[in-house]
Amino acid sequence: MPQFLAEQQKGLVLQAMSILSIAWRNLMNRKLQTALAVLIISLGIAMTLSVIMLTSGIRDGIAEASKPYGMLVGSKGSANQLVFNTIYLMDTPLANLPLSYVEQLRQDERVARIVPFGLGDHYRGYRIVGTTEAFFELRSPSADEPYFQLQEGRVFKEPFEAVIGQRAARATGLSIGDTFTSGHGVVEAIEEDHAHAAHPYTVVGILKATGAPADAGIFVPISSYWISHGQHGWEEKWGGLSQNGDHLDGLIRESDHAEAADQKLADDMEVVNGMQMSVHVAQGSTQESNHAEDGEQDHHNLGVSEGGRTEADDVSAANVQTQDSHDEAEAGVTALLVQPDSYMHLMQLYAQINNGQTAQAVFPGQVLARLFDMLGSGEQAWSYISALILGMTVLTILLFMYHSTLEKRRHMAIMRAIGAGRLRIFALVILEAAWVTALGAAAGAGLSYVLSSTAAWYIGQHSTLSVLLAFSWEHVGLIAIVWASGVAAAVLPAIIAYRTEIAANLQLN
Amino acid sequence: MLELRKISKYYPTADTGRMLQVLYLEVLKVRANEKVALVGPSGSGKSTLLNIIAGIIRPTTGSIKLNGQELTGLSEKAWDRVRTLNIGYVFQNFYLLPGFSALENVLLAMQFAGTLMGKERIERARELLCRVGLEARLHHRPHQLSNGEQQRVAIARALANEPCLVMADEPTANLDAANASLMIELLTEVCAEQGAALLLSTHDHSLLRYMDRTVHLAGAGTGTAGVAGNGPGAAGTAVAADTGTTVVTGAGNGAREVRAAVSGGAAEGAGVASHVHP
Repeated sequence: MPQFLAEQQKGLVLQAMSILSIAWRNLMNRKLQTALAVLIISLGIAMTLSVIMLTSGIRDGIAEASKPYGMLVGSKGSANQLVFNTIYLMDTPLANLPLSYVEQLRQDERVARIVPFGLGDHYRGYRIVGTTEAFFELRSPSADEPYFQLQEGRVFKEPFEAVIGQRAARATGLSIGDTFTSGHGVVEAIEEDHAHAAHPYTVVGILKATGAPADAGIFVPISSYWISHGQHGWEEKWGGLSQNGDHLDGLIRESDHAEAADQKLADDMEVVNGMQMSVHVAQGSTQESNHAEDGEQDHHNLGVSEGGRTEADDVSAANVQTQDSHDEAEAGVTALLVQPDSYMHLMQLYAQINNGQTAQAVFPGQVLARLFDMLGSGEQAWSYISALILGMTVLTILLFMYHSTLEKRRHMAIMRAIGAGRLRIFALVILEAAWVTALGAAAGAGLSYVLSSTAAWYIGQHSTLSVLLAFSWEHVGLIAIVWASGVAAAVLPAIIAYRTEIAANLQLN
Repeated sequence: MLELRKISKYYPTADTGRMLQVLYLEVLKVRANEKVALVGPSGSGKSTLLNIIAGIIRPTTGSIKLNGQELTGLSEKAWDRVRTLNIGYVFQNFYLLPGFSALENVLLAMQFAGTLMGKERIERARELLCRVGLEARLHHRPHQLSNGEQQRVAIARALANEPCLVMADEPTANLDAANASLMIELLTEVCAEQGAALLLSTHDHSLLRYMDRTVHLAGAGTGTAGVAGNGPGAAGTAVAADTGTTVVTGAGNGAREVRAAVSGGAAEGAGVASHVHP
């Protein structure tokens, strides 16, 4: 570039940017101090934003994963355990529900769809979920498409066929046509586990990534579980399911109104889950209120007899033992997703099941609301710490600008002497703070994205939880508040600068 | 163009708090395009007088008129404006902004004044710097320049807004004799080219030959008197001024001399120390 043009350009930059460029140049004349101030501001903002992004990302990830699931039914025990084991593929399974109990539910006129779940085996640490084809038809409320979509292959049809989640496929290297044998239990053994070597699975499908725990699941026909564990009794009790495992979708009640009920219920459940998440209804109180209606409910033999004990109870009691002891026992399921045909029936079933002694019914949204409520106090503490960090960040800006102003009083006096008015000097200090804070905020936002993404990746790699990081105006608002606070913090140094006396600072008296 | 009357400046003493007079000037007039030197011993108030004219220091008493406008009653902001647009000041220590290049130092003065815009502004800054011989130093920062070069930048900056008056405080104090002559030649030439009057303070009597008039400040207080300085070939004719200031109208090369006397107009001798007002 010709020298003249280069000069023109340099001059034009200063000219075009005017007071902003002067403020910038003032900062660049103190590069080290400016860089340190920007670093401190960015760290403060990054820490705060990361905490906010991760906590909301974890919440969203957990909530998102529960969307396709409605009312879950499992053995009596921890509701959290039931939800976390079934949906999030964490924790250990509760005791099995006997098929006789499942059959009672299936026969119930009010039930439109049942999706069973059987857990307890794994392949290289990735949990094997026994279920039916109906699982792949689950939808998020108001969604047109099924939640779980195949990326390649097909849904299983026969026992010992497997459809694997995206992450499980990536991690295990399994692809269509590959075979594998499952290990017993829910965690990977130190030595290679081939507990069910006699019943290898064949991969027939791979799911698209959902960002949900199902990405880390391996889905197989539930009959595979029963066969490989030598459990009996399912052939007779499971109407429509043949010896070779055909007609697994027999679990879907053949009802003319099943499809319509599906959509209506999904809408209702959205309302219910939304209410539960926001109102934080305690399950205990719900159960109590339902208990009052007990006498009016039609029990439909859902494990509740006049004497309070049923055949199912007996079986259930026998099932309250370790997972291993289920082998050679009656076939059962770990959990059931039950979709009634209407909201009214949903609430009826919910109350009835919980009032019985065999099973519990839970709404994932309700469990998560309680969980978030518990986490809330921790988050509150984090928010206080974040506020403290941001306060210190603003104080840093104040200190930086204060020292900068004191150091540059002579500099400002010269500017005053060559024509800069007091207001211009005031504005220069404010603009310098605006620059420093804006740089710190931008760097902090970038750093928080890197930190959050790294943490989300780490969480994703080491658990089945997915952290959904998303843009939020709340983050922009926070950055804007810090920026405005930083600029406001510069008012005091700016006043000092405003009062700069030329003669005193240039020793002209 | 510039007219000062009965200018005094007092400062409180640090120990007793009593007011110390550091300057008294009965009358000083500088005409357009005139070159006037202020001479006098250290402490005689030369710099103080320049700073008062620039509005950097407020006089305790007196009147300052620039182009007929009374300045002493102006607000600080208004005086700032007058200084920016009408007075170019070359400080003894130059006072260039350290983080800015020579070109930017000149541009800043124009930016603060709001004179010219865009390319015209840059072009004028370049022209001025080229005029003072710094065409190869436009983008050098002050610490990359010699004292003489820094002073040239200060001169270019002082002329940036086309002032009617350029003031220079001891412009050759930091220069060797050879450079001092070059500098004063440059300063007088560019002021003449720009149509600006020049008022400078100096201890260096060799510079006086470049000036139209010399004003002697011998210090505030009783009995202070101006000492007539002669320009080259000057044969002064004393003209009584209304307030006791003696004006010597030069002849020969046209040099004129102003004697600034203390109040009362009594020229009782030079070098009397400042006195303390109760």
